[in-house]
Amino acid sequence: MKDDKVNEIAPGPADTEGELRRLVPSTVPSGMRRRVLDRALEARLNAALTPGMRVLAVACSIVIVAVLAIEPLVGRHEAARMTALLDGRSSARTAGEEAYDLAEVLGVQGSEADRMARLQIMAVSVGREDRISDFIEARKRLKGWLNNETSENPI
Amino acid sequence: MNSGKIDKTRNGTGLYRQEEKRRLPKLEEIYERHGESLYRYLVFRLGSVEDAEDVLQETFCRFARYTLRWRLVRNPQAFVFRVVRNEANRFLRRKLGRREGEKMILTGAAGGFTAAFTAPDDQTLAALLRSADDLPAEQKEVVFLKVFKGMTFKEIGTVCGISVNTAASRYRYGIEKLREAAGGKT
Repeated sequence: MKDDKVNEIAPGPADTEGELRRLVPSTVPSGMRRRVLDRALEARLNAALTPGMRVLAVACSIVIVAVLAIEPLVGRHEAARMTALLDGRSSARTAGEEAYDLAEVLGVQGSEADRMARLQIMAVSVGREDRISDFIEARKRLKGWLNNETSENPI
Repeated sequence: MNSGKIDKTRNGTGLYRQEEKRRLPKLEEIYERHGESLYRYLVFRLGSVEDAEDVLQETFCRFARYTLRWRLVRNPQAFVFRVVRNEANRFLRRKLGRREGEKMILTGAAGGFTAAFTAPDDQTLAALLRSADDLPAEQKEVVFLKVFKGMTFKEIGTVCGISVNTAASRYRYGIEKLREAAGGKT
């Protein structure tokens, strides 16, 4: 509608237009139709992709782009989930790792086997120390009782 | 009682048009409808019959590859002219190099009315042809499409990538200049 209005208001002097229309267009070369159409049909036949394949290729490329765009997002989500799982676990560490950490804390030097042996000795000595302290404690408690008790042995 | 009757002729034509719109046009059909017009437009744009035919062939190769695009086309005439114009611009850039090609596209120095029309015997007409060739490229193109291809300003806008009003004003300025040149200014 707007275009029609523009067509109407545009002043186009009929005389000038009419004069221009009197100009004779140059002739079209003979056989051009055949040449043009033959080449176009040849191009259609030699096209690397048929129209159907082209549509398929476009669809596939859209899918690939979508996957490439989504993959980092999904990967990030997955990594976050894994981190949460690993942080929450209780006994996933091996005994070797625990021993290594303990040796580090206690300042035990040497090879892996040395460290394990010294840690075992330390554990045994700690256990023995506990037993000695128990014995001393028991002796302290019995001390008074032994002093007040009459001997059963005849004098 | 015409109100109750169904206008079968009109309905049939409408259905035919819808059907025609949906199916893909054949290359032969496109050539029959637009081939020679496109060729003349190319001669006007490029100024050489050989180049015009080469570009026309390229354009039809392009049409042969289009399938889905034809279904989306609303105005086939504007579409084919737009495609051929783009192809001509590509040709000029390829032939002359990017910078020179762009310059040639803007100035429109490659072609013109003289190339597209046979030299008239009438002196007045020959003078008018020369005046038309002296118009700025953008006005020349709009005048050509309007006068010789009978396009609406909307179609010209689509072909040249400009607004309807720009197309109309370019045409008005062009025709005024031609009228002044012909000495018919009132």
